Amino acid sequence: MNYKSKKIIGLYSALVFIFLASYPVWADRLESDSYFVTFGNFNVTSGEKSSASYNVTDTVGQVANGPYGQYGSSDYFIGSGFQYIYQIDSFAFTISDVSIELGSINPSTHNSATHDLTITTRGAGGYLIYAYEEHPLRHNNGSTDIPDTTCDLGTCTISNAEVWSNTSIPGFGFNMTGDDIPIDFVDSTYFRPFADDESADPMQIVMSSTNIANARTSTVTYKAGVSGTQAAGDYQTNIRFVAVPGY
Amino acid sequence: MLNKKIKKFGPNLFLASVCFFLSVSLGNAQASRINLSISPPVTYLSIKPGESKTYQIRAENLGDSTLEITPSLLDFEADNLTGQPVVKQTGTFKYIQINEGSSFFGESFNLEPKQKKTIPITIDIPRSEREEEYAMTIFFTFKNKIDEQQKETQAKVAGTIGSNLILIVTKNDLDRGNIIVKNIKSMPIIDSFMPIRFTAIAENIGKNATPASGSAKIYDWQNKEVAQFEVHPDMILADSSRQLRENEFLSREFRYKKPFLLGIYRITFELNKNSSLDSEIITLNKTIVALPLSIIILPLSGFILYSGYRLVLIKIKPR
Repeated sequence: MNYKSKKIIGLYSALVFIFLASYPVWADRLESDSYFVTFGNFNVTSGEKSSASYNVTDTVGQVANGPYGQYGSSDYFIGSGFQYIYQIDSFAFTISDVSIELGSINPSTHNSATHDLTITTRGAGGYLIYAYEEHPLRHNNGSTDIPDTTCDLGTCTISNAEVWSNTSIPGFGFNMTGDDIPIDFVDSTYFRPFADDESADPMQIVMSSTNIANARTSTVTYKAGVSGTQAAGDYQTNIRFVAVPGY
Repeated sequence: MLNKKIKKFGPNLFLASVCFFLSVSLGNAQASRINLSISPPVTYLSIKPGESKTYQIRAENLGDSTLEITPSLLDFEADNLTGQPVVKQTGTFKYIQINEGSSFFGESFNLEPKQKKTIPITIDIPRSEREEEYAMTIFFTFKNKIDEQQKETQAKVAGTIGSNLILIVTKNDLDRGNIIVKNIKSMPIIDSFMPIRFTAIAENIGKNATPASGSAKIYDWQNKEVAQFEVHPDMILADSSRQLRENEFLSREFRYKKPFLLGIYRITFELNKNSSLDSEIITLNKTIVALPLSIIILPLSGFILYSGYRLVLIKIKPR
């Protein structure tokens, strides 16, 4: 082999190497705002098989399949392999800020503060989040309250948001924007009062979905205003958000 | 001399100060964020009278501050549509213990950041207990352990996250679920250019929760199957109903689209009564008619408009 041939082969090999090394490898996470696809494991085959008379899920070729460990103790879904994805799902709930600071409120002004709620569940049954307050915003003296808002027309309720933009109307309420919120929160001017646990109001749904949720996020905006006769001082309440998985 | 030292260490000092303030402000920002994950979200457990069983719920603090967690127990009932629990304000189930009886519902524990905790839940059923299904949610109310509780803010927020437990007390392991298709909803007459759209509700009149399994089929006037949809295996609790979902897109509306539909179509739901191998198959049918309404209505409306126009013209122009 002469020098020229060696040079050509060398150049060709280098080009092949560069081509192979630079060839992109595509990988993707199969997800959208409302779903993601999970694979329980690498196996030969898995899935649901059915005929007119039966319906079964199976996994063939999986390494180290279950049941084992703590999940084996639940014996209603008896199976092995990917089916256990139903049992080992997690359900996560995040609140971005737990201290709502509305500041010093003066008559004829509305003060507001926000935080986010984020939920992730892989269960196909979805989720819902309820909200309630332990009591209305209450003065430290224990007897004076800032009333829950009834909005501009006096028509909003714990289950129906209405426009509340008139700053001369006092009260305490909240707005929701973002994913999976009730449809009555038409835009950022629509408010509801919280369900009041002290008055035995039933807690109200503020986020819900019947599908898999992948970091579904909503923003809660709290708003408060006072009348000219409102006693000065610190007012407080406790707000609870209750996340429940579907089944 | 001093100038030299400032020149030498000044940038480093500046960088260190920036890093310090950033870390402090970031730390404060993260301190009021709380994040708890629990697993599993739903547990189905069968138990015999006189038997005791323990299962675990795993809690993980995904946030950056220590959480104070308080477990509690409340009953729930089905909403008879979506599979979302309607939580009641009371917890009536008596035969349940947390942490093997070493603590109780309402007693708080702490969970450090990024730490996991396995919480054993023990069910101890007396021999005299009758066969029944119980649906309940074990809740974990979580809030920041430090600082936040002392802060003077108008509204202090706490989160609560639930793990559902559907418990079946049964003397044997037989699936005594009994699913029937309650109704199929669709328009009785549709336009030939529109899709066939329908929903269905199944009811479990049996003694325990069981998954919906089976299919929905559409037959044309020649009794030829033109479409088939697998039903998603959603659990239907005892004595409750649930809207069925098709398996591919988890949609509650079943939809069959063709360029042109004509004649009589039959929608058939075939569901297994329960999950046992020899389960009976329950069937419900609904008939709909597809007609070219748009083809009929368009010329008809044209004719009506033209007639009206002629009538107006006659009235305006006297003979």
